[in-house]
Amino acid sequence: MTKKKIFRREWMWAYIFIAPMVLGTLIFGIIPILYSVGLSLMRWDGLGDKVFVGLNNFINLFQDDKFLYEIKNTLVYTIAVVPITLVLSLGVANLLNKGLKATGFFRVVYFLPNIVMPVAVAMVWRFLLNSKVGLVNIFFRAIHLPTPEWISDPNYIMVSLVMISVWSGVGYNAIIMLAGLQGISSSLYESARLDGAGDIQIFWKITVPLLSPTLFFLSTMSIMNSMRVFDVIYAFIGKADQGGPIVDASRTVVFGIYEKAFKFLNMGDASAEAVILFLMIGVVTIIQFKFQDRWVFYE
Amino acid sequence: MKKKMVNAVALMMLGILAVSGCGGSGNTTEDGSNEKTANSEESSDGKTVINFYYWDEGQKEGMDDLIALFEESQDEVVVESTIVPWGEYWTKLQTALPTGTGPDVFWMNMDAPTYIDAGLLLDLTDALESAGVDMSKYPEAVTEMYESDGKIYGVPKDYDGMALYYNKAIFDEMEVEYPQAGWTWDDLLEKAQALTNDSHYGFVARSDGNSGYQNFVYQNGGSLTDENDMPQVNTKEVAEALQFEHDLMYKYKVSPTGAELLEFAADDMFVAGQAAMITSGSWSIQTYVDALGADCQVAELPVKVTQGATTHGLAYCVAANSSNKEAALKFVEFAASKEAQEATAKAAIPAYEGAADIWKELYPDQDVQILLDSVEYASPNPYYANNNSEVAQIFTDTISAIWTDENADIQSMLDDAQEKMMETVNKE
Repeated sequence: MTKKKIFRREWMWAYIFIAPMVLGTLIFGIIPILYSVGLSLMRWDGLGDKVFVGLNNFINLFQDDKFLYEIKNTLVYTIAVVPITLVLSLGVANLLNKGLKATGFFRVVYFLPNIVMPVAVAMVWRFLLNSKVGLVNIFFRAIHLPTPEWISDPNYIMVSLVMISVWSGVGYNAIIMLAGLQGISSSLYESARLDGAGDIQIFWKITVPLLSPTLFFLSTMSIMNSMRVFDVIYAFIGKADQGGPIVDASRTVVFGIYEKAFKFLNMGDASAEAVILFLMIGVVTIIQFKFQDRWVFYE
Repeated sequence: MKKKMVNAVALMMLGILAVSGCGGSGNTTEDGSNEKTANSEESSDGKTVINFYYWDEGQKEGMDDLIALFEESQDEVVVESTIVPWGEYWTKLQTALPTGTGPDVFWMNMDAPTYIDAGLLLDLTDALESAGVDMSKYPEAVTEMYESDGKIYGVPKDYDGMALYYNKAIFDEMEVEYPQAGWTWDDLLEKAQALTNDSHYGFVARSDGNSGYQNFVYQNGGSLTDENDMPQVNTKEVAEALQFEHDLMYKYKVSPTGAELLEFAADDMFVAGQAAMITSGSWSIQTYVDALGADCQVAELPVKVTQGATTHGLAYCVAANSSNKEAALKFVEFAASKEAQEATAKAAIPAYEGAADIWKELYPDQDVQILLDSVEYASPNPYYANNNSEVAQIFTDTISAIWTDENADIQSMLDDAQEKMMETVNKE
């Protein structure tokens, strides 16, 4: 066998090995994305013929109040959920990293909310946050705090949703951070102590920089996931055949996509909104990667 | 010392998590789907196989009985039934019917016009006529849901009756006379006031259309659509009906408000004894009777200018591009017979006149004939001429805003809604 033949054969096998992954990504990722970009320029009810309408769907969207609510709610949700979750997770991760006797046990416990189905989470919290019989308000009443209508007051519904999402997100983030913390060599801490650094100094000068790749990963993922939030909200605002102020105060972009595609059978508008969400997430992610040099420190 | 504190904090947080975690298991529900797809055109013994989709697991017994009866009655066609859970049903039909990979026969609901317009349902008019099916045996409110331009696209399967349910125990406790046939809105208000106290409301003014406000609109001689199915929601009749419900909530305080109904399901309030009266359809009776037994009683809906109620009925439809049309038609023709309809009578009121006796026997303590009779004066849900669900959503949004706003100016909100609905219905 000549060298060339062997070379060629190796290439062939390389293609065969990557084929499943490439085909999967093509069929379930790239092609649907391109298809929905195409659909965003058409009017289609999912049943009949597709009609090309140019940028009409996008123009419709920006004239629609509901779309503006969706953008606003999605941004508010993301801006609230991501920092709160990350800060709390960092706290929990540090607690777990202090070398408690039952770290393994607590690790499992904090992770549990993450494996509960979002729909179940929403149902449980609907019960906990019930303004009359919910545990949260019973507790608030006992310590003389105001007892808002968490579920039915449009001014509070977003607060409730953020609370639930933080609760179910902390565990996952904390576990990843804990892994990051445990990867930091203890010799660094010891020498810092010898040099007379205090707890706070050690946290900011050693823990945070060395944890920054983990924090970068988590913040990127959380922002993406928050901008695509749907299931918790859909389940929490209850039977979505409702509408009105309460739904307007909690509808997110993906909620809008769902409503347009599967309730109104308006695949064109839905795809247009999906394209906009794609661009939004894309821009945010690019900015994050651009700025990572400023604060992310790879050892 | 420090470690102890850390442990204590962790433990406390654990407590919170554990408490909330426990509630979860009780509340999680999972759609039991036993989906199987069969696309074989012919079974091994040369019989034609047709595929039949429906969504309600609760009606499996009835559907199985129906299929068994049909297969006994002839020996050419076999029916493969598939339960597609509600959450996937419509997506499945939407993707499968146009490509011809869907079922031959399937359940349909009030969305039928969308499917008829898209040419996905088979015109059954001639087949039913030559098979001698008498459409007058079915409630008109149901048959008209599946008709378009004088053609019939569905064989009525069942229908919903509508009534006022009341909790006899609360009436006795408060010494209020039970509702009588022919009672009016004023009587309803009077009784609701007498029945309201710190532990229960007199009435639940439901926030939804089907079992709630639509009934009041119909009783007031109104309608949400005109004769061309265009929206017509800002009429005096509609405004008065909504004002009446709004007053029950906020002016007389005899009903939970819209905000409370966002937190508590109306049905739950009734079965928990927190409300003495509620309007609902025949689909609720099983839940109510399970919870309240003979204390749950049925009364006619109150009257304003006329008797009025909402009804809805399902139908069996055939796919326009079914490859086994003959066999599929045979099955729906059979399903149209009184015998077949009686076989399905346990879970829903069969559409065929007089086939409901079996259903009635399930509720010996209640006067369920009232539910059956309501269909005579009932009207179907509104179905707007174009962009139906989008137009309907505008009205739902308006209604929700009315229910949650104590100072709602109903007429002007309806005027706004009418304008937006007209805009949307005229949109391509």
